[in-house]
Amino acid sequence: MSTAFHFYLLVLIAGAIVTLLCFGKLNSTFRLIGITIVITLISEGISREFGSVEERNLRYTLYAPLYFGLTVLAYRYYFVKRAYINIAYICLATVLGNSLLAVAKFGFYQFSGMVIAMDSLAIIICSLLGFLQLLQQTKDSPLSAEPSFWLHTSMIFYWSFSFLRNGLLVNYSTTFSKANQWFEYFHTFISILYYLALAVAIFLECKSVQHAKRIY
Amino acid sequence: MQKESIELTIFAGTLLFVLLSSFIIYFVIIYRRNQREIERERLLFQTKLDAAGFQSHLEIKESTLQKVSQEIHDGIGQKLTLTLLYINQLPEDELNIRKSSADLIENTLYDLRNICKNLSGDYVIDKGIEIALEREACLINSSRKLTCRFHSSGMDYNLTEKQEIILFRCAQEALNNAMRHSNATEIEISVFQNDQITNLCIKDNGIGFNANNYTGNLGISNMKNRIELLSGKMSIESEKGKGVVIEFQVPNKMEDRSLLLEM
Repeated sequence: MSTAFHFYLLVLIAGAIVTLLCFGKLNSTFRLIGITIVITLISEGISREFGSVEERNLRYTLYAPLYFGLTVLAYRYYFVKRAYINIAYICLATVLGNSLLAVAKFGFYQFSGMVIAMDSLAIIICSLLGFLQLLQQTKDSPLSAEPSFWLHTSMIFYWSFSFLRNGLLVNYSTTFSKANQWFEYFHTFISILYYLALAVAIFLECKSVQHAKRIY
Repeated sequence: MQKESIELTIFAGTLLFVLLSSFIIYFVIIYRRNQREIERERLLFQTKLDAAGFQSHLEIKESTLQKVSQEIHDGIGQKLTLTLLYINQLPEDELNIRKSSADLIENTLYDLRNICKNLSGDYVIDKGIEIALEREACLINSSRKLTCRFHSSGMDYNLTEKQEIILFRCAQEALNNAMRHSNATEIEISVFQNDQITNLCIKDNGIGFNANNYTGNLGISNMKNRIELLSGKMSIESEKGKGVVIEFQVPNKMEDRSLLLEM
């Protein structure tokens, strides 16, 4: 395992610790986001044990619907407007239906990058709506202190990159080329930033709840 | 084939990140603009709230003065008039005592009526700001402590009751300040109108003060707030040893700030 991957695991551990410490103070959205960090930590932690391509594909087949389902569900709880909530439900149905179809078509031991590309698209749509909602609920505090701003920004950047990576280049069932390996390094770097941003968002949410409790 | 795919990916990736970065920057700009707008609206709301609060404070004060004036006029005034009647019915042998008592009561009644007129805004509303200010000048002159001159010109445009009362109360405040603090020997009240504005100026030849360093007191800030309620302006010019000039300028067609209360 590379140093970058070790650092990535460390960031995941930090994110999981922040989630566990703040869990009681978080709302449903950030609880679900925190759970996805813990799931990712477990999935990445056991990835050493799954060395072969089939085993890795099995891991992704189980991990992807859970991860994307929870993330879209987090957005469903974040949204206030009925129309946005309905779109979140459509995205959730797409994510779960997509995974079921992939399993039906390829089985558990084959995993298509297109599944993640489609799921990424669902999250991008949700995060764009999230930005729209944030704009409609403009607050006095600076954006950097707004947990949902960190959430949407990290989501939109990370999953756009992921959409590009999975939709255009990488197929998990094939051997990686050199270019794909470069993509993998870049992916690890982006993942570190992504989970760092999520940890910051959870921490800020926890802090804002504490602050609100002090006021009231 | 793979090279083309990599080039396409790099191009698409760059385009996507440029688009996303632009989107985030655009979002931040819009968000900040919204924040500024909210801040501006909050300040405007606060100003309106302050103006409404000050207006209701003035209304309460005015109605209290009205009530006090009525009580003095109907209660004490009535009793003094009755006392005067009784004194006039006293036997002829007490003529001197009767005359001096009657004079004393008549003077007291005269003072009392003046106090009532001063307290009540009715006099200003009935007679108009010009006559009310002229009467103030006469009252100051009658004290014989200082001389007060009054000038008016072009008073052809009607002011609203609210404008007249507020302007009159400001003039009273300025005159009180001049009499109490300035050591002035002369005061000049001048009021003029054109089709746009009413201008009231109160000038004294007292000790003055450095208007540039003056932070103001409650009386001055009250005058300023009152004039702002009429969408008007107040200015103070003064230098040490050169007296004080206070000028009030209000538009004849007032922007009705009471509408703010209905929001």
